[in-house]
Amino acid sequence: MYTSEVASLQRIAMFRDVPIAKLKLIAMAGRRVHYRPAEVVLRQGEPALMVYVIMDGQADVLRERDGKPVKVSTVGPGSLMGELGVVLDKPYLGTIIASTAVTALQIDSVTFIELLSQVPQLSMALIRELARRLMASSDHQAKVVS
Amino acid sequence: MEQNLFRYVWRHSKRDQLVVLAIILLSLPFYFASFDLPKRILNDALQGRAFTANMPLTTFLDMSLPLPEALGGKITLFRGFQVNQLQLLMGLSLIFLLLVVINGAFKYYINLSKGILGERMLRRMRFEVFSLYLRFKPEDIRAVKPAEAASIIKDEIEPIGGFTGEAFIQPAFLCMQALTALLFIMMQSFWLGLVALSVVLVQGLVIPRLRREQLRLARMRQIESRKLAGRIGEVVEIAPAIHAMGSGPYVRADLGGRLGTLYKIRADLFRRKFAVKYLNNFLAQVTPFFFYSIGGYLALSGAMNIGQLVAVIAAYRDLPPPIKELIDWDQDRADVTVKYQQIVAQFPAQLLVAERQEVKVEPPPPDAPLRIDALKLVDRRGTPILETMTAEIPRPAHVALLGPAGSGREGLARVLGRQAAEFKGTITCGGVNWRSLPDSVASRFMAYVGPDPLLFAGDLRDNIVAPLLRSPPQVFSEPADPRDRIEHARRMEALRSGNPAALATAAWLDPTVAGARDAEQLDLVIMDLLETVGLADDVYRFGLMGKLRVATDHALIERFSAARERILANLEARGLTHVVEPLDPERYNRNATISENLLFGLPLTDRFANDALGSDPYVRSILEAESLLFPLVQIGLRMAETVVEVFADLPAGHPFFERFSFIRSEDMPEFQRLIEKVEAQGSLLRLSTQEQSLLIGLAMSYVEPRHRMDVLTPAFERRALRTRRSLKEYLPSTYFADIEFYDPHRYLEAASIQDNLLFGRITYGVANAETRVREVIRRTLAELGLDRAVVKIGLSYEIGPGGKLLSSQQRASVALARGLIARPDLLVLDGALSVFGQSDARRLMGRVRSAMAGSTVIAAFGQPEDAEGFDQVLSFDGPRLVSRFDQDAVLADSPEGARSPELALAAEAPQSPPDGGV
Repeated sequence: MYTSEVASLQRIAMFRDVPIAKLKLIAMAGRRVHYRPAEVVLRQGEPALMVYVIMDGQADVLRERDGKPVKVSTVGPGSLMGELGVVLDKPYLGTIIASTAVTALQIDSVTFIELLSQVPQLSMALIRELARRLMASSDHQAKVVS
Repeated sequence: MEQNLFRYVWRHSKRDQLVVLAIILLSLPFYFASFDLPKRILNDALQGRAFTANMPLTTFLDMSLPLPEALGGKITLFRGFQVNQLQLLMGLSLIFLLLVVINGAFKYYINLSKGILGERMLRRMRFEVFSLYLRFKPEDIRAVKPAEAASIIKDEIEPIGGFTGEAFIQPAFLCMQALTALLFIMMQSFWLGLVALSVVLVQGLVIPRLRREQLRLARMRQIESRKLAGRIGEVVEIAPAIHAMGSGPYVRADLGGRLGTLYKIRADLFRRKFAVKYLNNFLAQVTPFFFYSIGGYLALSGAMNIGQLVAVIAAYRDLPPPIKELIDWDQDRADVTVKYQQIVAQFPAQLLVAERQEVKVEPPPPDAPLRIDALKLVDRRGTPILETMTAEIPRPAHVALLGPAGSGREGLARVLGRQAAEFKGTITCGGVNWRSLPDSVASRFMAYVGPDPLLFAGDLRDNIVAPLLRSPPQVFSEPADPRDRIEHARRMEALRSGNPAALATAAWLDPTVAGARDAEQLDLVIMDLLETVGLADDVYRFGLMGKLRVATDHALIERFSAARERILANLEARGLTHVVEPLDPERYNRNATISENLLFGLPLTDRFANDALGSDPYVRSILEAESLLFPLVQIGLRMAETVVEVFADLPAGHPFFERFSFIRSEDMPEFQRLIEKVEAQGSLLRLSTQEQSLLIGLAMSYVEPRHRMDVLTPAFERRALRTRRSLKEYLPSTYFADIEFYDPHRYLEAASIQDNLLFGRITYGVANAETRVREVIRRTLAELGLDRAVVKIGLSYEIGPGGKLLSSQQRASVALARGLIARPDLLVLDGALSVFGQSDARRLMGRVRSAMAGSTVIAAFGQPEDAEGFDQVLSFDGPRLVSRFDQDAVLADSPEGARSPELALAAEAPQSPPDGGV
């Protein structure tokens, strides 16, 4: 049960150390959704109500700069999306558009927060991930300054 | 409440008690006559003393009035009849029979009056105690255990009520009966009378003394029982936490100890009670011994005739019961007096909010400022919650009270919201003093919404419109229709018991309070309000999940049935046909459960419930015939294995069980055992029928795209369709009432409105499918003018005790809607939005503030950003008001400005996450 979801979750660095039973719990709490190419998965500025894990397919990450959407990266299987908005309780910080047919695991924000508070391994994993991003951001800024 | 039970009873039932006492007095001559008559029958009729040897006839029923000679001497009223001995016997016997009837009738009336009086007093006392609870200060009512209050009102008052009917009547009646009997005995023989009197005195003096210990034990029992009720209520409330903590054995031991204490008290009580009873019976029985021996001796020696002795013995037969009952009455008196005092002690004056005379206090004008003068609030331990503060809050204005949790912001909000009564200082508004503000006036201009939404069992609408139930219907003792005697009697009885004559079902609701002309317009107001508090979508969803009754909602059913075609057309027009998988009799619906596919209908009773299908002989025989039994057991086993694996280390009662598990936490051990059994035996075939049924029940809820186990093969689907046909075709007539089969041409009463509208299942796996389909349904129903009907049905959603069937956010929204519906001039929000995330809370607050434009909002917050846009900000540091901020100052003072460089970077990071985080 939930084999493909668990495999996708295991591809995400932050979930690598989370026991399989807990990954199955995440899969059980979420639902598998399909997007057609060019379909919007989530939109910048909208309330962050869902977190997504891409299981199959590719999607573009866009951010508005000077009022225009600019593609900043492409994400694929094993990518976690929307978690910052949900954790910070802020609107989504970017837009995700399916560039191919995409299958994703969708978890609503309330469940995601509950999972974080009830499963210590998950919240630890998220803290580690955010710390990693913080360091990456600091390095990036240091490079820009130098 | 009156401290003395007898004064209380006399004050409220004087008239009735006097009437009954008069009836008792009236009954005495008849009672006396019933003693005298057997003597006459024996002496005059049987022994023939009324006849002399030469006179075979005697006068019967002659009546005369003996007057002194000066007044003319004896006046004959009736000369009577001349009768012989047999006629006299018959005449006297008939009079005896008549007296039996008359005395019985008196007894009937007196007992009935006692019962009714008692019940009336019981009703009055229960109502008064209930009203007293409502008068508790807000600080004190929170400390009352609901189960204890219920125990007092329901159980403890009951015996007091029963006694009150007898409080005056019983002793009067019994004393008079006993005195009559005693007087009669004395008139026959002074010595025998003296013997009877001595025994009565011993009973009357000794036994009550012996019963004192009984009373002490009874008092202890009452207190312990009340504590037990409180403890049970408490345990039931926190039962999930007890499971989680594993403290069940401790709680059971605690309860066992309490039950033991009650047993010990009761056993001691029995010992004492039956010892007293023994003595009582002995004294009652020893008196006839004296009568037979002394009376017999007097009769033999000629000092008294046999008729007199028989009459004395007969009269004595009637003496012990009143004495015994009198003693019992005295015991009850002492018992209920103690109980009454115990109950009165629950309501000391200092716990109660003073009863304010409903004098004409007008609500303050909406622009009158709130003047807070030397306001101070401390908790019960003397810790200050709000240190002395003086301020003026202009109105109308939106004011934020800012400070950390537990600071003065909460204290001030509570005092302003009238949730704390024990404050020092004064709050006035337009000349109205907060302390002397009656509820009826306060509720007309202000509302308070706190952190705990206090909802009651009922539907959503009842909870939202509760503040509009403030127009007490004018009810007089005379009903509108004078011929309606039952209603007249009901009203009279209510007034006699000090209860309100108006029924709760009467027209209490005043829609004008919400700014609506009538109930129709009130619906629109409620719909607006639902948008404001963010509950509109939920209520609409409840409405679509609601059901209509063919018998009562015929017109609506026709309209909804007609809407189906239009909705399906609109879905097609928006390219959403693939999002709904229709319920086709000839196709397996992958987005429906296995049971829905097998039954192709909705269970009306438990017979076709998922967990009963595997054990029902009819269903089982068909599943066996189609070779589906074994595959279903296999699916159930795989589902059970997954749940056991995922939830193995979660404690019982964990909220995840309820939300995600297919198995209830209490059933987990059973499924775990099943899995182990299958593993040990290596086969499913050895499972018993009952064990197979358990797994089949689990499998019945399986939906392929949701549970994703890839078990639905084309062969399984074909067999499921054959089962579907067989189940319907061979359904025994005794099963007809247990299921409603799907029929695309008929409105299904057992199905929700949405199911009837779509006649299909929304596809799992299509992004935002549910939202998009609901949107189409909503628009179509709005076009057809049916949206209001859906909201109305949604508002009739039962929310369960305390709103347990709602999420915490929904509960908070309902409380907010309730706070807004009466259009208050002043709305106090004290942590009312704390269950929402910060962004949701801000959006919600924005809408509430728009709805309250031109009125005053006072809201308590923890974060400075939340106070953004408020006209005034009162900032608290602990219990102290430190300053008033304008908006810029609030933002400048925000801790954001002083954060660490790491946090600042973290805050920036999401703006440009290096790996595309959103």
